[in-house]
Amino acid sequence: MRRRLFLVVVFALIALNMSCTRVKPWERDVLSKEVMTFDREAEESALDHGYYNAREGAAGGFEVGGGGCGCN
Amino acid sequence: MVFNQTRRFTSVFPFVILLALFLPGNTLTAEDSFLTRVLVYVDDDSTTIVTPMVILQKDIFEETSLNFQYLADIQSCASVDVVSTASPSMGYEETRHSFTLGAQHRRQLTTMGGGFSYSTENDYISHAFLGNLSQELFQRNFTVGLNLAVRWDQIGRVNDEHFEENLTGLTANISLTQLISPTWIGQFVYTLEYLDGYQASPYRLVPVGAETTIDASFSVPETHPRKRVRNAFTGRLKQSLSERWFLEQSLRLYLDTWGMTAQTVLLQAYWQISVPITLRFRYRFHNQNRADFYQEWYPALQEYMSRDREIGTLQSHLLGPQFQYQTEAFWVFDKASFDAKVEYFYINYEDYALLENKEGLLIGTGVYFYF
Repeated sequence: MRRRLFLVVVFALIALNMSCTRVKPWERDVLSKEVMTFDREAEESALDHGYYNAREGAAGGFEVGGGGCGCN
Repeated sequence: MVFNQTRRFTSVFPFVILLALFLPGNTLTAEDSFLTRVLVYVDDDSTTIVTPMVILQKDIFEETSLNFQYLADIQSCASVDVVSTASPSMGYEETRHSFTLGAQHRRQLTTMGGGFSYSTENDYISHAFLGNLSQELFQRNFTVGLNLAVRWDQIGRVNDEHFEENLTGLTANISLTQLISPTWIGQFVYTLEYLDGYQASPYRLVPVGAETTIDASFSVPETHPRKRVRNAFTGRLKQSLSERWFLEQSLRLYLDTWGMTAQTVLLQAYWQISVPITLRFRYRFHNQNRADFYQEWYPALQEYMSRDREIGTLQSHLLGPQFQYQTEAFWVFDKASFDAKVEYFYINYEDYALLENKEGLLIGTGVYFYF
């Protein structure tokens, strides 16, 4: 089970990277919108996950903000 | 163990805020911000939690900033598990205070930071060192981020000076963010957490030979394995559907060494009604299978026994809207924003004898100011 999951994740990663075309800076008009960033709601998300983690047995995977689209 | 530090920190807190804002020689610069949020949790299992949070961020150099966060959990609980096993009381009220001080430095395409967090309540003290590093690569098409946290906790029990337990933990997050197209962005996050120490509740009792403590011939304190390794894999996609509509979808897969597996789906649609106003619609579904040692009831004693329904089999649904308003140049601020949400949740417990399901609301609001 774990091995299969690991393979799925590795495959997804490779597929994500390989299939991605490079987005040029002048093509990032939409990506530069605040709504397109993953850490736009980081503080709200941190509070929400405090509740989820206390009421569910699972945790992690969402707490990292950062990333960003390189538009600034 | 000294658990009466709560009052001391509560009285000191306003002065910390004032110091952070008005230290001589500090001038507010373009990146300074002040934000406050409140989240209210209320369910039909007699639990209410109010969580206010304040964050101050201030530039001390051109590329370096300091941040301070205060958070409180004000909890009132008469949940069925508390009432049935944690007697003599018919519930409890408690407040947790959490303080985090951190620094962030950005140099070209690299961001790094660190901090220290301390939280205290009447029977629990937690400390943590935090660190993060992120690097943008490939003409800023790809970002890799790493977060680390090391924590050590002291666990006590109210009205029992002799009860003292510890828990240490290490959490590592790695995130990979990729621009996929001019309208798509993707992210993969892996979280590894290692915990070693006391992870049961010092208050919960597990009935043996029956479903409830009343019917059982005897009950024993909850016992959980002291070690736990948790893994969470999350894939996230965000796309622009049109000029005004945006969609985020994510899937998290979770597994740990207690035998738990879980799947979580999150869908968020954003509708930009106008430049300052955005509506968000969120739906979240979570499904998990119980830990190996968790049972609805135990016919006989065994090594690990739990009454914690959160590690049982359950499904939860959450949905609701959020209103967001953002404006430039508000009063003395360069930018300000306001948001408010109401979300409904429903949790179904498949193997918990005292409660089949519960529902409730998450009500939240936030106000952000940028100087």
